[in-house]
Amino acid sequence: MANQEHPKRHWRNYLLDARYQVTFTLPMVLLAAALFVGLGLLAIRKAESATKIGITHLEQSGAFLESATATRETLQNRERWIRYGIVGVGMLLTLGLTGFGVVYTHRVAGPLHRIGVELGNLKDGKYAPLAPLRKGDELTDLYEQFRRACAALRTREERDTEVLRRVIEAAKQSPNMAHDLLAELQQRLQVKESRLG
Amino acid sequence: MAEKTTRPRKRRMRNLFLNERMQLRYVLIVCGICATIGGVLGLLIYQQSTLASDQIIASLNAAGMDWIDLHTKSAIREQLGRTDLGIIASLVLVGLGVAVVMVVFLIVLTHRVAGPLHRVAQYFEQIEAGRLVPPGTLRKSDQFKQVFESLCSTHEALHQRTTDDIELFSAAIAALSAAPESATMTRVVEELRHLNQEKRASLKSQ
Repeated sequence: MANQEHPKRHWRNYLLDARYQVTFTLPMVLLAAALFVGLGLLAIRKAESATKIGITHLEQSGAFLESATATRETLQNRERWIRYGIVGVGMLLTLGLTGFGVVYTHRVAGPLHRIGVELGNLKDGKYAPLAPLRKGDELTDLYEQFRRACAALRTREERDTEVLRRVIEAAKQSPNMAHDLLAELQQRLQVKESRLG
Repeated sequence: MAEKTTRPRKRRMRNLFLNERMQLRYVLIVCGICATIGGVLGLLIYQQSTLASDQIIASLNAAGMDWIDLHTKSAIREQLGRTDLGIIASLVLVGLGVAVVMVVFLIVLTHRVAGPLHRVAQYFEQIEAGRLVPPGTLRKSDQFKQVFESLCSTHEALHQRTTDDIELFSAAIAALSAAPESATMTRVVEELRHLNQEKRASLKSQ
């Protein structure tokens, strides 16, 4: 009987299907980054222009020297904070989105990886029951369909085994049955029984 | 036994949403992220633009600016207001344009995943119903080729096993049919014949 527990996720396994995961994560990160760079640059330019206009206004209005210096510093600090804020948030966003993209796509790649492994088992003639998916995995409907398909294959193999047993019993009584054919039927029965585990 | 080879079908607009839940979720996530970025930075741009405009207007109202007549001052104020609104309008228009292009691109992108998944799901459905129909082929740009290759090789193995069973069972039917009749033998041969017919049908059915 296969292990019916939910296998845990491991960080090292997050990139299961690199082609798919990169194809889906990259557009998301690139779109967000392009949008952020474009609008961020525009925001920085606007902030620079607002600061310049503010300073010019300050100079024209003839404010007291001490107050003018403080206001100028406030304006320049605000501009600096906007610039650093945009760069910092942009970098964090890129990193965050990359991580999110890999985790999100893993929830699709994981079940498909499992299906791939189980298909390999079917190919090798192992009809063991399938373990359930992990919590948070996508493609639950597809996996359920796969489980039903595997169960149907197993049921058919069980029926083959039962019929073969009866055929072998009858063949042993038959004088017309060639020894080689009987041996072959017995061998096939063994193979089918081993598939069922 | 030669298997039917199916050509990859062309993408059609009406088939683009094959797995709505998965496709829409991805499109919504990406659009949501981009809309948030656009909204926050757009607001910042507008804020900086109105800040600059307010400072210019304050300069116009300052003492010593009497050399500009009231009509010109009003025209400048109106122009600045229009510029600020123009920024918002162009940001919204560009945002909508980008959103439309992005949604179409993302739907086509997700279809490259939904298509193979649809094929795989169809194959499992056929297996469950007892039909061994070839899973076909994927398009060039489709994802999950490795899983699909596994599916194809598993299909070949299942097909081969069924063909081998049919051959062996046919030989057994022929040998047992020639034996002297007894109720048990007749029942067993009939059972085996029925099973063999089912196996043959599973390879033929569409």
